[in-house]
Amino acid sequence: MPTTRLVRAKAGFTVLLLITALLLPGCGGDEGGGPLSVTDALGEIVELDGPPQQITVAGRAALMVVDALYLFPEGRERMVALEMRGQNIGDFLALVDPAWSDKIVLEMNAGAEQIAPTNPDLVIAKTGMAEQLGPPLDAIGIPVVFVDFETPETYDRDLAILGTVLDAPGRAEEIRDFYQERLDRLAEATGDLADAERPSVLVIEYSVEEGTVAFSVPPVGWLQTSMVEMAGGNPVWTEASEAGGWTVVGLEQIAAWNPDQIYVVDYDGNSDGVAAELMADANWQGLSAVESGEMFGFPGDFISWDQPVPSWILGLTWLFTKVQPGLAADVDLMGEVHAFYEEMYSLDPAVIDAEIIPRLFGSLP
Amino acid sequence: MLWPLALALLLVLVFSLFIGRYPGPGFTPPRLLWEDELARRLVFSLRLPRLLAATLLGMTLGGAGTVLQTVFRNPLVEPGFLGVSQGAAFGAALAILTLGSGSPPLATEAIASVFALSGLVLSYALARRLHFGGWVLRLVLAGIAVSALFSSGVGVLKYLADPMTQLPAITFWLLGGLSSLTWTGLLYLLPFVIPGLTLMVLMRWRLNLLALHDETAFSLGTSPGRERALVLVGAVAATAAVTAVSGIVGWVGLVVPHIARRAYGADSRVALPAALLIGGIFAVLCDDLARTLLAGEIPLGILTSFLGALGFALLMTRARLRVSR
Amino acid sequence: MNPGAALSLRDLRFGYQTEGPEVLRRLSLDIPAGTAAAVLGPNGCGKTTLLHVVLGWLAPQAGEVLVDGRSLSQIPRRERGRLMALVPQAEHVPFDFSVLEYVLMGRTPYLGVLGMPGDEDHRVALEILESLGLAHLWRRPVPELSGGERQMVTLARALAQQTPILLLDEPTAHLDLGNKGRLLDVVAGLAGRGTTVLFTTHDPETASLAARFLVLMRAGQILDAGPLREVLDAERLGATYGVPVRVVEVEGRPVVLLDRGPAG
Repeated sequence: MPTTRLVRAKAGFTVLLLITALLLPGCGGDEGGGPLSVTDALGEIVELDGPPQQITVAGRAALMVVDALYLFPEGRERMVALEMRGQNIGDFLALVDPAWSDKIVLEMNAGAEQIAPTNPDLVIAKTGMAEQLGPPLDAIGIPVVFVDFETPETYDRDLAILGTVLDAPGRAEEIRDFYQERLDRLAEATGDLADAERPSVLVIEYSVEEGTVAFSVPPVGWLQTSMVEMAGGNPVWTEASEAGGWTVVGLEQIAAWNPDQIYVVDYDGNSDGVAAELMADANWQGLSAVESGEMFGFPGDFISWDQPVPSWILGLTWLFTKVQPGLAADVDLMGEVHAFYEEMYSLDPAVIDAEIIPRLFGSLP
Repeated sequence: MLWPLALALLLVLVFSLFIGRYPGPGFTPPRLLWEDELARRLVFSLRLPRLLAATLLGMTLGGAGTVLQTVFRNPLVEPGFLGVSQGAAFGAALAILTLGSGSPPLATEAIASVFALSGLVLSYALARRLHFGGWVLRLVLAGIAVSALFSSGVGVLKYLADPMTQLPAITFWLLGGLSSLTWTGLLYLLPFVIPGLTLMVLMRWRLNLLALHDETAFSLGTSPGRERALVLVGAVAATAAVTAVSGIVGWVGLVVPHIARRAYGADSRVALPAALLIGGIFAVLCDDLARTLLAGEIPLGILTSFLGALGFALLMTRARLRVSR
Repeated sequence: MNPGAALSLRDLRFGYQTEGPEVLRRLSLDIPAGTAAAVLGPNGCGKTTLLHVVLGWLAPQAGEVLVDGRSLSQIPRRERGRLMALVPQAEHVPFDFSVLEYVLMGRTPYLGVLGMPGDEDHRVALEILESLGLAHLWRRPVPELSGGERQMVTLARALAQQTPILLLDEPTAHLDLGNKGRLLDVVAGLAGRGTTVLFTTHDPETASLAARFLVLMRAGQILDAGPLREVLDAERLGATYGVPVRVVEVEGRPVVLLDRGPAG
């Protein structure tokens, strides 16, 4: 009979309401997202109840990870604590985030005990910290995601990881596209270059002290080496570099390589000054790079652009203009700098001009 | 008696002048010196001062090792024993940390020397205040304490160092190397090393006496305390200067005196000059390997430790070898 | 050999710490030149300390040491090395000095501060080794010598100093009978030729074999001093050692025996 069907419908609807009412508390706290599962840089699958709202970044080079995290507005908001070592990146991030001073700063070498009071839903750290931080955080039930952010490939992968963690896949896509666009352009220009068309390039780190003639070259696996290759050059120092860190080479070895171009990296922000001093140094005369004037200081702003922080893309772009000036004729470097800071960090052009441009160092036009 | 050894040193020096990484790894053809200006400059402004510095380094460490072993009646003693090397390490690390790059010339070396000498002074002062054991034991204990103090200081500094810029510099310096030496660096060595070496050589016979017990040395008409202090200051000052330039280079000061004594007898009249020459040869050869073997510089301290330890083990297991008398 | 010198101690007081216990308490002693004198006493009575004070290595808190009437503190260091030589009790040097090198060290007082032994010094050293019957050992490393040989070599070094006074600290302590006899013959011979010899021992036989003059010491004080024949008697020895002793004459020589009471 008609009334029975109506009653049944109402009953069914009521049951549905009841079930929904019972389930709703279960979804409490989410901004609409459900449980997450993300595979981190070490291939571990991390299960989270939902997008974490409080994130702590810990371990060595935490600031570099924060720098990448800050490419996401959600990252800026949800990060509550970080381990700080090194001033320069901190200054930059203060520019990007007005709430920077509200962030909790952990002591150096913070362990699980120091991290726990910051109440994180998630801890993010570099893969190198896996052995040190993994088990203790596991023991107290704090999930941790390890990221790499060391090379162009891992940058791409780890940006996707952050996108999943922050539940901001759209933004992640944006960022990856930004990088990919430029990398594609570069690959197109330099991908087919024959060996003869690639100048031999040397990248050295050097701090000036009177009478010192030793320099360091970066390991083969690091960003600097891939940057040189992508920019259309031939890195000469690969036979010298052992894994681990910078390797010292003597002037004799550099003379034996006799590269076409030499790029000087200086982490104290005076790379072009150092390059100029070297060019004038008596010991260096006779090297082809010195005679042809092809010795440059690697640029940077708050931090040198050869470091594995997001601004490496600017370093790569600059390198391209120096290594293959002909092919890079239409590259507008300053435009790239602006585009980077506007699109990646949502900085106002006026702020960029006021705070970042004056800090630029290196052999820039 | 020592002429063959001196000749050997000379030959090693000349030979080393012609090996390096330019134009390729290994031997540098002499005719390049005429033809290639860069080669000329590399050999005379880079290799030559470096070889001389290596020679002085080896001589100083070999001589200081002999002096310390004799004066302390202990064949297992090293120059890095009275807080000298560790003090130098601390001073250099401190300089790198506080001054960074762009510091005044050789400031790092100067500060390291100051701390190295202060290590010695501290060890001596502490030893005088101890109430346990005879003088030699007290000095040993004080030296261990002061060395440990400075070593932990270095640890703290490394902890505080910026891992990007400062820590690698400190770590490389601690391993020991001559890669950044030029004529200027060599010149700064001389005011400490030449007097130190001269003093050790002049007092080489007196050293024998200082190996005796104090009362006996006294009965022979010496002032054991004063003479011991004199020869020690000379040895340590030279060691401090050399350590400040090249970083901590170990094992030379331990092994070379043993080789010298085995080959030439325990009499320091001969053993000390022999140790100087053998030390020089050893250091130059190690440095040759350090700058030639691989494209990158191998820290000198690693090579001397490896070869020195090997040599020491071989030496201790074979029967005595005597070259003369 | 040089003619000996007379040694006198006047009111010597010495303690290792200024506020601590006195090791030597108001010692006075006169040893005539050219005599062999033995200081006899139980272990720990201060014999070695006394020797070191006489040497000048330890400075007394009060009193003085006189050599031929001159105060030791007035004599410059260099001269002292030509005046007094020491044969220490047991010397251990962990280096392989050869016997000749070892003995050459005794020539130090005749060399300048930076001087080194010359031909003359080598000659003297070899002569002395000859006289002691050790010449065949001249290139042997000292650590390889037997205890007796080592003690003789140390004596040779002291003799190379050619001093009028010779000090020996427990010279026969680690020697077997044969070596003991040999060494004491040398010592007696030296005294016979005019050197003043002062040696410490805890063994009465050693004293009676080599010394003409005997000093009995106990707990930092001199109980008796004088010609050996007079001083070496049972009563005085008993007081020195704190145990009953008997002194018997065997073939003209005094022999000291522990008194065990009635036989049986």
